[in-house]
Amino acid sequence: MLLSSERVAVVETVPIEGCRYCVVGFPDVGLVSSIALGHAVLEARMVEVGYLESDAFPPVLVVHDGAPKPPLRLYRRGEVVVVVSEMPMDFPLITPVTRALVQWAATKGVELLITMSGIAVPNRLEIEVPEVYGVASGPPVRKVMEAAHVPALEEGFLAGLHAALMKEALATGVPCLILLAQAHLKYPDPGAAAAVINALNRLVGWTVDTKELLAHEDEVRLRLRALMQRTQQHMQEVQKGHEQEIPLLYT
Amino acid sequence: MAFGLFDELAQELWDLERGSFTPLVSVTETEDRVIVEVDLPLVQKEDICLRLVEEGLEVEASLTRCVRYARWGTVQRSCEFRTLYKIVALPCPVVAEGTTATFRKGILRVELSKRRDVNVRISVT
Repeated sequence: MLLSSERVAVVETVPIEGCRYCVVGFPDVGLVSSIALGHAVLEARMVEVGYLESDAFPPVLVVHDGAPKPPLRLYRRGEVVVVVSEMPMDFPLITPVTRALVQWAATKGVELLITMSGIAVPNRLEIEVPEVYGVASGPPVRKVMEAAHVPALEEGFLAGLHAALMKEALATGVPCLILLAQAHLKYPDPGAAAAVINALNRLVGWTVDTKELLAHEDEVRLRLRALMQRTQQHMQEVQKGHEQEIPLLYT
Repeated sequence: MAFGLFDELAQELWDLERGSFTPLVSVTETEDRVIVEVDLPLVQKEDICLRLVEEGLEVEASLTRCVRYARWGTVQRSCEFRTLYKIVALPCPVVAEGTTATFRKGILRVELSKRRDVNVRISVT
């Protein structure tokens, strides 16, 4: 059983300085952040600069191009560092991982921590272009969000690693923004991922093209079945159902 | 193909013998209907074959093209996958009459009527 004081280390394989934005995505609703950041890493040819490690992580490695790699890795392009995970996070690891990431971002002087996910909508098939909503940690981030034409999610619940990351950011004082795209709950949703990429482009000054992603939507949906299925169980553990409820003190 | 050792999540997502992938499926119920949703990427409506069998709802759909992940794993890399296939277990008995099936934006939605053998009203005293 992992306690929140258990060590999770952010290891830089290439020293990281001058990082303005840190964008974090873990497998969640519709695999939105995983698809978006996976596409961005390849499309923008981001450079691998580090990884996360902990004795409490399961003994899982991923092999790419014959090279063994930890499943949670950092990539960089310019002022943006991206954190991607090839596995959903086990519930007891969520707090230690988010705490380690936020503390790392604070020491690096990150100006804005951005995390993203899907928000499940039952009528996703009727939605041609999913909307992206934002949750800002405070007024300065809210201004940035509005300048990027991302409307605010005004009332609701959030559950998952993105919620945990915001909790840590609020406690530590690191500016944080959550992006949420309307998405399928249980099926990989490249359309929602493309919507999030467009919002991210406006926020961090990227020009990641989504044409290829949308042209190969079906291939993405086929390839990520196992990850989506594995993520479903984790979504139950974090009480994802809350996201469909109205809060008690709704105004 | 059942590996047995692996957790349920990892089992049966692909079948080398059949050359098939197992699609993602979602089963929900209303009072009188069972609704099955199946995510069928790379499939055209005409190539979907649906059957009600003893074990459940059998879904077979040929992919518009063969898919091969030439760099994946060991045996997997040589397999040409040609279909999506699954027998979806149903939560209760259903009847074939009144079944509807629609295919939209790559998602198959099948609505089946629950079987009602017995309908006896019980009075409460």
